[in-house]
Amino acid sequence: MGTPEYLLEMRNITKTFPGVRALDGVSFDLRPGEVHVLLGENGAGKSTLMKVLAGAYIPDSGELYIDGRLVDHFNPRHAQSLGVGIIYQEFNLVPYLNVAHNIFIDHMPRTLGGLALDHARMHRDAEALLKSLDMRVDTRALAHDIPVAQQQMVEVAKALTHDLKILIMDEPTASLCDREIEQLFRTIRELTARGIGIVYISHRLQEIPLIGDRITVLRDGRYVGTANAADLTQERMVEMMVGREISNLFNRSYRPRGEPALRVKDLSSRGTGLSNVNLTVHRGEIVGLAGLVGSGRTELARAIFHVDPHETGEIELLGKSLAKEDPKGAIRRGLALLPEDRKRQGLALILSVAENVVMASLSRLFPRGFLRNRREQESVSKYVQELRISTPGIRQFAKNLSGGNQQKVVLAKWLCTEAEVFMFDEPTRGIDVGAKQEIYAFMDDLARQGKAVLMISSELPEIIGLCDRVYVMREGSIVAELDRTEATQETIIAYAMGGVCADEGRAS
Amino acid sequence: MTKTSSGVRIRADAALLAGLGRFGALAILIVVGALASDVFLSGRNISNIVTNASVIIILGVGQTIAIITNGPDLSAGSVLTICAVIATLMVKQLGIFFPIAILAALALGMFLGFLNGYMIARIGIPSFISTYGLQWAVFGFAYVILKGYVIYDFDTSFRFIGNGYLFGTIPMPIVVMLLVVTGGMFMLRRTVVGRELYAVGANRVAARMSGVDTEKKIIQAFILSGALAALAGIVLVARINAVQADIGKNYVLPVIAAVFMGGTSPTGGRGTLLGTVIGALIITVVQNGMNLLAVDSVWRDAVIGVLIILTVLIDITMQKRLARIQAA
Ligand SMILES: Nc1ncnc2c1ncn2[C@@H]1O[C@H](COP(=O)(O)OP(=O)(O)OP(=O)(O)O)[C@@H](O)[C@H]1O
Ligand SMILES: [Mg+2]
Repeated sequence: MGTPEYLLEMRNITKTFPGVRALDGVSFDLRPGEVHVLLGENGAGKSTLMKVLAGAYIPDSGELYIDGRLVDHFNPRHAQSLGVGIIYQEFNLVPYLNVAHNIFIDHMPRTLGGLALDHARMHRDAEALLKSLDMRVDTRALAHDIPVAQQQMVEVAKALTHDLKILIMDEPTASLCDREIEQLFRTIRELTARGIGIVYISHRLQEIPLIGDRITVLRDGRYVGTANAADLTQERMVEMMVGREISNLFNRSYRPRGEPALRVKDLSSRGTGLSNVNLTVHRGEIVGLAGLVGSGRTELARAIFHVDPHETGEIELLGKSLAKEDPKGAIRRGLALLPEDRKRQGLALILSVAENVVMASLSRLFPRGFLRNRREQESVSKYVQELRISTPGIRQFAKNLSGGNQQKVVLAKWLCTEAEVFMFDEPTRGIDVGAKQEIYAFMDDLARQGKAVLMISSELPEIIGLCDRVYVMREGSIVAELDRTEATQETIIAYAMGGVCADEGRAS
Repeated sequence: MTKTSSGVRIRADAALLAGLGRFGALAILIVVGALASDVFLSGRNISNIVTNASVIIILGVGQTIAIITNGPDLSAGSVLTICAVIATLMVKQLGIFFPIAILAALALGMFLGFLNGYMIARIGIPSFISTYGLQWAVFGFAYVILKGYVIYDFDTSFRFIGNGYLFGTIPMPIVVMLLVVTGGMFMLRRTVVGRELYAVGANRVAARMSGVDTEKKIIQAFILSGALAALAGIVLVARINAVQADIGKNYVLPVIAAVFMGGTSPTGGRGTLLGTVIGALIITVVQNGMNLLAVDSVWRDAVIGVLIILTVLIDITMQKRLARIQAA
């Protein structure tokens, strides 16, 4: 028997995949109405533990009690009937169904004696549900068309259509902006007030004291410890996760900048709302591109990389004009773009780690058109080691890697191109602190080698800690250029929000 | 998490197990055939089976490449037909030297493949629709040209590729088939182009952003499929010594079935030619067995249909079993 005071008890859960012991005797519990944070490095086993709870994986051994009762078979339906809801790291909405249909996807209300779907009722119920959570989402919009934050709300609403006791949120804030995160926290508090227990996974340590009650840390598939959120400093969390102290996250060696490597002149594009963008990145520099989500940063990078067309403006790469090209041409000329959307634009999930890593470097590595195993293995292994990608081998399918390790594979793919100018769009999304530090060191190293880096990030500490210069974007235009000494959190936010002048921003 | 250094082996295991399932199915069918008929395992019959399978396999290589990259080439049967018609008209009616006629047929196949690729990649018509449409147009042409006549009785020099023997022992269709399969395997597994074809099929957006010219790759894949359909057509007419306008009509679906039975993913990005070869052999072995046992022709399609579903079922069950093993 489990203990009645707990909604959930997991004891000594072990789970192996070929070549990987993802969980090794892990225990975890959850009380009604609490937010229990699950921490650990990339590949520590967090998602796997939660998939066991949600019935997606069958554990090799161990016991799972829900409401004090032993769970004896594992499948998603059964878990759902026991009151477990999960919002996966990669969302699970059906892109071309509307919001209401997605919310009721697994038990759509019927009419005409069960023969037809009751659309009217679905919309009514969906609206009521969203309203009870204080969420504003159009129930008739397609899931594909709404912003990520709203997709998340739809996921929450979808989970609530069942008699929910436990809600698992796997990195819910990875792609949300601050305002959306606040909204999400309000929703979470609303749910806990109803007695629902929440398991919360995140790599954004700064938000954990704001939302978590207790914290459990995993490392390498093993249980490290549990503590009250109030009793743990961020440093201590990191130490428990990584097994060592991380003293200096940003270790930047600033040097005088070299000649301009990337120059954008008067770039405009009506389709994506970019207007008159001017920007320069020099060799040896890391330049930040800050701004709110939707301010046009991603669109700008895509235009420079010639993924999307632009109408007017000039792009100059290493002193030569990069005129009508495509991504292929841009890569040939020494440009790289790590895209923000890992699953859609970054990775081929059904291909192996190795195939993904060399995908953008095929003509560089094999100029004669014939693959050479040795050469491929050497290049891939180098990055697997340097970025500490945790995988049983370079021929493992990318889809079998943990979220953060998938991100590292995308990063490896672009580093492997040995480009001269790198554009990184949210490079550390979903990546643990330890690995972040290594990636920052990597970027510093690129700059030291005389390469140029343009980094888009919504993590202001990362922009401030790493960049020589920062451009701030708002509504498709660059509204400020700040050097290292001027770039403070307040100034950047003030420019990004607009309306407020920088000094007021700093004063507040 | 404990790591092992055997990542290569792990993936090989998964592929191996699925492959073993197919191989096992083929082995069982061969045993059944041998028990049911005493001529089944005769050298002549085996050579017959492989020769018959050759046309399916040549088409299957093109089809596998098309499906890995983008989607099925439903026009392959019609391309086979028109190319066979044109080549035979050239040698028979116009008295053109046969290698030139063969080259012309290959060029026509490539051109039709290019049309497919262009419609799919540059205009954006899904392969199901564009290749299906092209099939009707091309079959129409073949009927217009032949007006219901049959062209038959060709020169031995032209027929060599279909009914000759290399070194007096190996039937030419098998030789051509082996060359095509070897070449295809080499391209898919050992060249940059092959990698790029898989990449396009696995995630077209990611491939494009990684500098793969995705439209060009799709066009190339369909050009290859067209060329191989033309080649299959020439081998086929040279072998049966006659051509009529519906000669390729009944090839496409069995070929696509062979490709799927071989484990190629219908959504692209994954598949092997070895699997396709085994799939094609399975279909041919069963057809041959039914011939030997004089199975009533009304039953044959039903048998083939059940067989296709069974093989794919075995494949899926094996993979589920594999997932279970991982989970247990
Ligand atoms: N289906 C699978 N097949 C093989 N290995 C897997 C599979 N799922 C997970 N793994 C492995 O199990 C380990 C734990 O993965 P998991 O996804 O639980 O990590 P995580 O803690 O969620 O990491 P992240 O923070 O990066 O999301 C990883 O090494 C991963 O490669
Ligand atoms: Mg995870």
